[in-house]
Amino acid sequence: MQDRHRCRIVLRNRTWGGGRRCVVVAPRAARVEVVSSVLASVGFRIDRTTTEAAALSTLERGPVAAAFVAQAMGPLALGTIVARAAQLDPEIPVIVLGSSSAVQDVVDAMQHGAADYLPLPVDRDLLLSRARALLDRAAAAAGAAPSLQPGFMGIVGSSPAIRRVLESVEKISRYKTNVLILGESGTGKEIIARALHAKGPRRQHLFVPLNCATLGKEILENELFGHEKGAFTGANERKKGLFELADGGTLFLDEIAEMDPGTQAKLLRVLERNEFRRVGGTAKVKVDLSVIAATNRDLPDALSAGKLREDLYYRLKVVTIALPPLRERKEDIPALIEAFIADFNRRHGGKIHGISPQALKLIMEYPWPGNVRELKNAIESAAILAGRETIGPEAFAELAAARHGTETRTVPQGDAVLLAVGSTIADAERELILATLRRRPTRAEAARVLGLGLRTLYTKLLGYGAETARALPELPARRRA
Amino acid sequence: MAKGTPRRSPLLLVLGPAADLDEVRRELASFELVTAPSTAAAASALRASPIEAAVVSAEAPTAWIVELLAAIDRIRPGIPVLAVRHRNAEESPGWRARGVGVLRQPLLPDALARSVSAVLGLRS
Repeated sequence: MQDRHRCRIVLRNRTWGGGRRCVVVAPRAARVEVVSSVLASVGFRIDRTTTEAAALSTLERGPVAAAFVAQAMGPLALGTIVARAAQLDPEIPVIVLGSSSAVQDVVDAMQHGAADYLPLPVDRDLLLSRARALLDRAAAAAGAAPSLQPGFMGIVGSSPAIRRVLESVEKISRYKTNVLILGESGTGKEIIARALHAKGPRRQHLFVPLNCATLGKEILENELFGHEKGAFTGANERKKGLFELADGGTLFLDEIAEMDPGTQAKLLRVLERNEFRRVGGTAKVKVDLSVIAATNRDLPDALSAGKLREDLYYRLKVVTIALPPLRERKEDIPALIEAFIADFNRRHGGKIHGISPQALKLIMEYPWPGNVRELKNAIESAAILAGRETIGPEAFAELAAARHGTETRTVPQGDAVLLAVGSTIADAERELILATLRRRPTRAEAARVLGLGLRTLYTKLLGYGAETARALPELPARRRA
Repeated sequence: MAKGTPRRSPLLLVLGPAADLDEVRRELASFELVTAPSTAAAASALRASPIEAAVVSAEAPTAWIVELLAAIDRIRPGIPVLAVRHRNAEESPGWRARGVGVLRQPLLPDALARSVSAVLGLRS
């Protein structure tokens, strides 16, 4: 019985490969014959190559089940072979046949994109079990892109506005294209960029984010293009730039309008020709990557002020995603609060259950000029200071005061008061009274202009509460009626 | 292991400031994790649990790695340490010899999880 069982396993193993191709890449001197013979013994066809060029052309000849690359090929060849295999089919597992058991060697191989690392000489059973696990995983993952639902990559909300964004991400992510993301500060532009990358055909490669506002011109160009050895004082060795690092993947350039116009011109050339020169270099470096750019600026203003080059804008704007500010998707606020509280509890071991209805009312009334980022910070701050499991309205007292302050500071334009559609009559009256008080030297005169008795004005001010009184500027003593 | 008992996933120690641990947690979701927001907490975890490898997040100061290595030498010598570091961060010359693997940001998808699996695979 046992013999019959063993016989069945052997027979099944002999046909496991099913004639599929495995590429084994190693210098002639490397002892990888055992790898080839073990794989051949279970039914794989083996293409044995000894050079990087031969490995690449073998990979390009047709479907490959797996590639086994000796670390002795060197880090450059290893990186190139792994990257090419992933470009041809992201699910092809590349197994590095290592020369050592040093942790750093393993990590280096994995950072190149290898699926596994087996030090030579390798045991037959270990080789087969690891190869089988990788091939099974690859078969299960083949063609399966992650599903794009609210919650994917931290995107929270189900409002029509956020659904439209997700639909755009779904459609755009199918293509290797450049994208421009517009939206106010704090609307989640980087999250959407990451979602585009994670959903798209470049997902097996790097997503490299860079905030263009944080670096000066020279440092930014050095970061983007890298430099040759000796390009400037202190350039002791060649350094790859972010374009090379993101090769095959996605480069996310946040706050693109803050980039120097000269650097924008160089970026445009990379987008048009897919090549560039390192700082201090003469050789052209070819790259294949998608660029996602983002800005929180008003684009007509940025273009007319020369902050964003028109030619770069037209190159990028082919595919544009506009992110809605939080005030235009307030129905998502309860879900966002729930997500932020869950996140807080997980990170800090908190026991916050939620917020009170009064607190939610205050939050819903606030315009959130800093968008989701501001909401997240407010919830985290309230959760830290909360003395009980439910966050009450007192945690958002400053928010209410700031709201009144913000409105009275920003809403009036000249002698007019601008009111958002959806404001109540009581809101309109309060804004008009507060704006008038700011423009008149005394409260008595404000009352006269408003057509109110002074006592009525005081009664209304008292009704607006202490927060409003705090938001008003101190009146000089002589003005206090 | 008893027949029918599911194989437990390896237990990892993750050291890093609390705000930095979310991404590491997401990346290492297939492993069992003990998180430590300080080196003192890491030393306690090493004493209390059968940790098989340690991971240090990108924002953890370099001094924390030095302290972690000292704690590992005292409490659980030989376990591998994977340190996520910023792209241009300095690396102490003695780390490699002490079984530290440095992963430089930005990381490929799953690079940290694959590294952990492969490093643990060396020991199996």
